Amino acid sequence: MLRNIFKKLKKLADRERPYTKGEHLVENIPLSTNLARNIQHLKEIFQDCSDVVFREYAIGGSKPVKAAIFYVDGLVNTSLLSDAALNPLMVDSQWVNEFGKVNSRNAYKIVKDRLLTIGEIIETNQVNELADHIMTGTTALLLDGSEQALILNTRNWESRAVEEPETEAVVRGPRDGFTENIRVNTAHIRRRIRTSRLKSEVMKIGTLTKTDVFILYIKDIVDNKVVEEVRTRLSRIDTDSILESGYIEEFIEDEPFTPFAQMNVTERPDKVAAGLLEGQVAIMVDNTPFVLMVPYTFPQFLSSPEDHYNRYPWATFVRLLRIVALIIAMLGPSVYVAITSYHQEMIPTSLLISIASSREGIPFPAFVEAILMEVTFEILREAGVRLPRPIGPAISFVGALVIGEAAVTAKLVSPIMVVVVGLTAIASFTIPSLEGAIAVRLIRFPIIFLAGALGLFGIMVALLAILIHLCALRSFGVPFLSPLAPLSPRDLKDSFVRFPWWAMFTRPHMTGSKEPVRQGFSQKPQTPPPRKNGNQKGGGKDA
Amino acid sequence: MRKGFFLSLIFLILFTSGCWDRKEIDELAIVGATGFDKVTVNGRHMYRAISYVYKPAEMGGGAEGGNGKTLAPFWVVSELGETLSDAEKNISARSSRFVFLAHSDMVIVGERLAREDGVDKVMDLLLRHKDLRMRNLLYIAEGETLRVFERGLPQFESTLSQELAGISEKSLPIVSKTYVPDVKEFVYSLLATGRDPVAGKLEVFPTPEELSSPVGNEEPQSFVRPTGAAVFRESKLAGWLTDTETRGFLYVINKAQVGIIPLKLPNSPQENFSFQMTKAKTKIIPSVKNDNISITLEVKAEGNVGTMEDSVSLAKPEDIKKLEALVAAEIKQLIKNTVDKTQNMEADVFGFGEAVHRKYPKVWKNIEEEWRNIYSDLQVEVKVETKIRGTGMISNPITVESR
Amino acid sequence: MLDQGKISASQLSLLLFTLVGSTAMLFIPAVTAESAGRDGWMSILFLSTIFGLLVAWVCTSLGQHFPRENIIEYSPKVFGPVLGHLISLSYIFFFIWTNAIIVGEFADFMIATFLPETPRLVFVLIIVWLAAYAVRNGLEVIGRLNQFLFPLLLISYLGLVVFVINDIKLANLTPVLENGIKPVLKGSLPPSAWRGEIVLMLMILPNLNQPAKGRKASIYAVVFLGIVLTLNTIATVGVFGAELSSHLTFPYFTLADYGQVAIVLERMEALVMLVWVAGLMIKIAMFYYCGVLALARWFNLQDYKPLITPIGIILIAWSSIIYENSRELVELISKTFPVYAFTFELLIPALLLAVAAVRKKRGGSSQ
Repeated sequence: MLRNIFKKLKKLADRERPYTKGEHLVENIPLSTNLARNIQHLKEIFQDCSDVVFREYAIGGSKPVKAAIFYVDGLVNTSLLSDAALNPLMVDSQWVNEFGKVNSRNAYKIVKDRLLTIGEIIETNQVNELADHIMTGTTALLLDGSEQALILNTRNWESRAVEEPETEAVVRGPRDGFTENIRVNTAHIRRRIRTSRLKSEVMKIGTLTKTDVFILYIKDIVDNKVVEEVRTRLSRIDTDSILESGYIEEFIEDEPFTPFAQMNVTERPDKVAAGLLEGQVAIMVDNTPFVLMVPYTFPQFLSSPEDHYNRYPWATFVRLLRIVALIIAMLGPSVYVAITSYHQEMIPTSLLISIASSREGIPFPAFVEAILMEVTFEILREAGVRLPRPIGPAISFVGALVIGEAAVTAKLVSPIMVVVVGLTAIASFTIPSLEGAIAVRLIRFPIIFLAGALGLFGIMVALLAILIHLCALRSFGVPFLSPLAPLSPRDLKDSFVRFPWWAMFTRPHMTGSKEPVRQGFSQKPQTPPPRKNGNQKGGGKDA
Repeated sequence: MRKGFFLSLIFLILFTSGCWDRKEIDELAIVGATGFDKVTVNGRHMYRAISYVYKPAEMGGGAEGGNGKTLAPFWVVSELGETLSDAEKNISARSSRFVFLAHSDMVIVGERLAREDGVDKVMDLLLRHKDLRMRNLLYIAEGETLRVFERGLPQFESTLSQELAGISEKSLPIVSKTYVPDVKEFVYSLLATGRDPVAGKLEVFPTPEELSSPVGNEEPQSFVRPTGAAVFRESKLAGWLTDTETRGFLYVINKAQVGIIPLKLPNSPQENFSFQMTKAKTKIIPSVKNDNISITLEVKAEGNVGTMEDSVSLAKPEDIKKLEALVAAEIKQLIKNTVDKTQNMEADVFGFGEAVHRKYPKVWKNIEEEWRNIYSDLQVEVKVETKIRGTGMISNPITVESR
Repeated sequence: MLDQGKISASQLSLLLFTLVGSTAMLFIPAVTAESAGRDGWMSILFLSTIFGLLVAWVCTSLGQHFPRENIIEYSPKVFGPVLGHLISLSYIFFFIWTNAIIVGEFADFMIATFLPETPRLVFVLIIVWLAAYAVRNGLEVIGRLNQFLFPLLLISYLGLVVFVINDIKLANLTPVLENGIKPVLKGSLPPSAWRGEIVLMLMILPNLNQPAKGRKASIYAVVFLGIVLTLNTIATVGVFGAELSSHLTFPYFTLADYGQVAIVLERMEALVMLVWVAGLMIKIAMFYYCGVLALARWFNLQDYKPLITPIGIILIAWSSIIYENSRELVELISKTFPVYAFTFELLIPALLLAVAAVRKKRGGSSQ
């Protein structure tokens, strides 16, 4: 339905807009041996770019060779630049006399091999490539008489300190989160998985933003088809800008017409590492701490990385609790509406009477009341996010207590409705995945409408429609509801319950079937037999 | 494409014009008990339906009323009609809210309606209704139902229906003197071959006779309580059972679980010993010999000494044996009395016919038609076995004369 | 093949269970109590299970003869083009006709028990739309959906028996075979016809990922159904007695209303209804799917999806006129339907099998 409306709109839009891509075509110009001409080209390219710094200087003593550097102020480490590129060239070059003096013929080679004390160097002979590199924070070094230019890695992107991720807090577990700097982020992963089998392929997406996108996976665990699929889908993206991973998510998901995310979004390195080890593929995008993980299945929807760190009975309990919370968050108000306005026979008599007495004098039907309260809650929530940090809590407090209390006293809503909506709101915050919570909050509204129109039957219709949709949903070829439907009993060990670590021998069947066994069998801790001459006092001594 | 458009249109219409069955809680008149009567108005037979409706505003936490005058938390509404369903519908005409039967706890039928028309009409009306639950209790009111509702002021709960439901759920099984079936059980007995139904009986206290004696200036507060049981012949009321007769009935249908049986010791003028029953089990064993049908009842009862007001020693096992024999004889008498009474009414409330049917289906085929006659002079043999397990916290009685 | 989706043997088994169980649960206790009285459970446990096993055997044998084809494809091969196509067409009719009855049943049940003032068309529209949505997504999704819902169905079927276990009087089942075996035989007709609905296998067997396991899966389904349905009938008769059971329109539903667990869980009929709606949706989707697929194959289409809407409209219209009142429905279910059912469920498949065996026709090399 939605799909068709969308198609129609698209057709309408396409008819009126001549389709041209906003691409700025630049011809490829090779560098010449003439430094002045090269500088001229670059200056043309960087016209009106006030943050591009250009400096000309000379190398060598008697017969100085002219050289020039270009860099973007603010993206480079200037002290590194002067230590590693300027100082040796301008000062030390005078004492180089291995092949005689530096002259315009051997300058390039000497500079590259002997003088530059910097780690990463790239060579190029294209003006445009050079320009692109300068934009990433490298320094371009051009020498007179050479048609090659050197690109020095002097990047020093300002980046936020590593902080605890706010969206996915844990009690037990590492406190570091991703930052906006993609290199820091890959380092987080590399530190956790120190194998050369952890691969990170790089792609540049966006004709203008030229954003770095990394595909991370562990070779021989991951399903190659999924990696290939990720590659092709990413390379199909043809846009001028990628500012956040959300852009990419919407370009590469399997089913666009759905409120449900088909990719896990996280800012926690430990979660990404755990996913990679189970055969998932991570997609990292520069300039955002949010990393995408595919394929995404239903159990991940309800699991927090903490579940793997806490003791398994507790983790199991918490997961079951989350299911209850999920049901409340999705159905709370609608079930209340359905039961109080269609199926009053289900309520115990005494409760029915107390609800009836509390509803005495309320002008709206329960259905309108529910919509009203839910919308109010969403407004409060949104306001809480937008408000400046110091005021936020105050406003939520005012909203929750004052408006709630006042609305009840003014007989606008019944107190039980406030309880239901409050419970629903709290329950919706227990869902660990951000995207999941959003989906649940969104589908709550149509369900309330259906419950208001048809009672519990309406809720069932909504649930069935959602279920059919979820059964048909795939994330990079993997059914979203696996391991429930299709059922793979082995994988249920880490779904609604969590088995102890020593019992989870295998990776999830859907993603990690290439190397299914992850650890030795029968590692259940054995109590050692009591020591013969035990009874040592102060067991702490031998530690 | 167009399909999608139409579909969305249909759904839009569905939801805007929808909500056909929606009834808000505050639009409901929650009925706690339903009653039916047959009355004669100006020489015409008419039916009366009564609903006992809760008033939620007055029931819980309604402390806001500043008038100081508290209103009754219930509303008794009754209407007349040509037929039962007509009368029932007339109630809706008087109520500002939808009459909602799903929370009704009991159905009370007036004596006259039960005697003259039979309860099957009422059952048909109620069971056709999707809201009424089969867990409803069925009472027959002595006299008119309306009187029960009007005079029956709740003593402990805030409404009569809650009080009666509580009594029948919690107290009756402890006492084993009255019997109240739910609608399912009643209808089951009504439809079963070889079994006549029994319903509960409600009586208003103080009775008119008691009232006539002047007690004081104030009118004594009246109340309602279940007593005994009502016996039916097919669907029509045949008579009442008293409390003790009901106990005999309860033994046979295996519902007498606990209770006190007062007894007379052989050489004493009044009841001075009571048997506190804790467990009882009865088997109905039909037997057919040469076309002669007889029923044997095997009762096994267990219990303790409840009170002993005489100075009989309870120290030795032989003393207990003697008492056991006494109790057995008493129970046997109880059952005999009840069986005799129902045989006089020609109402097979025990399901003896059913038992014969189950055990001798072939014999039953021949006698099914005349079962009522056979029943009224059926041989019923009662065998009782009792066991006194303990004497309570003390052994010998605490009586002054014992020394 | 029109639908490339594959289902596993266990999914097939669960699908067949839901297919028969969802409607049988609701109507069978009343229908059998009416004709077989307190011996109804025997008709369900023995006779109709035998019939179901027979159908399962015939269908899976046909499946082994023609492993990659459905009945629409191989009946012309066996009977020749004219007769074969006629038979195919009659199956298409059977699928759609049965489905129309089920849709009607569903709407009437909802009106009778839950939403009496809501227009009938609303229920018909909604359930057909849901089923169409499922059919659009193919057999694979229907199979998964059913797998997901199955625990709920089972809890509602068996849980209810546990809830009323205190009220069940097994004495209500005696005397056994009071009127001889005849009423039991008569009473076994409708449940047999129901059990035989597993004939839909003829359409979905080609989609099985391990065709060899088809027979086992269907036998499991039939036997398990026999047990569950028998338990439910015993519970109904045990609680209400045979006489009252036959008076009730939906005994199982009344049972849900009557049952209670420790005062807290009372009046669970609405919850039972919810689960039942889910099971019924799957049943309708299955018949719908088979009808659509068969028709698409009959017309030799490349894709079955364009037929979903027209058949949906036919379903909606037909289910509104197929019968006029609930007694007519019971008559239809217990008298007319068995006749059709026996023809389509056993007679024609058995004939097909016999002729195929005699003519030594084998399929499977078509792809």
